[in-house]
Amino acid sequence: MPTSLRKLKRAIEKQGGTVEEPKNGSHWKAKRDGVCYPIPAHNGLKTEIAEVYIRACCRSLKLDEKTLREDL
Amino acid sequence: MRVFNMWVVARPADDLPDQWVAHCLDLDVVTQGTSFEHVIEMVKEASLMVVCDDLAAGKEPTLRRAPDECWAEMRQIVTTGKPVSMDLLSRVPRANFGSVAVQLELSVDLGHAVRGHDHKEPSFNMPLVFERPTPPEIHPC
Repeated sequence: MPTSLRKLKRAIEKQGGTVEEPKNGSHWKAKRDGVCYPIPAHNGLKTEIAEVYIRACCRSLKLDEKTLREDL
Repeated sequence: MRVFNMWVVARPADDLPDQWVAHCLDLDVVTQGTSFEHVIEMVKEASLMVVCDDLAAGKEPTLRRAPDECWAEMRQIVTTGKPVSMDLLSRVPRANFGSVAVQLELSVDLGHAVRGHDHKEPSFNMPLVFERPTPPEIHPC
């Protein structure tokens, strides 16, 4: 199920990650335990994030996917 | 200078009717765009961010490689699909669009990666490969 960048940001931060808006470009930067992962943000916080992205993001940042989905 | 040749699989998003998704398999980076051309630009930007961040931290970016099941789709496209041009792809309606495998070349100046300067623009390295539409259930990633 897709979600918004706003909700994804909150869920990542709840698991100890950080999400920062860049000075330029269309990707925000999520970071957790020293690992960076770009978040597509061409529509700012309203950007709708696809299911396939959520899976890959959890994999790369070693987020608990079940917990993240409950927080979305 | 270090050159990364990476595989990207791009297709219309299954769950967002106006979005496209692209997966850089060598870095396990997924991103989105509003068209095929836009998602390719987005995956270039996303890949560059990851490579520069990892190199600046003294890490090897290719250790992020996507799981084996993600590579199976790319192999299927490359072995059973056919080469197409960007010009043709830009004229294919979304409903008729399958999955496309693209080779992305990323050149990074290692010294600049540490200092955070601009890099050579990522570019296509090989012809694009195109396949007929595939049902969502065989997209393992």
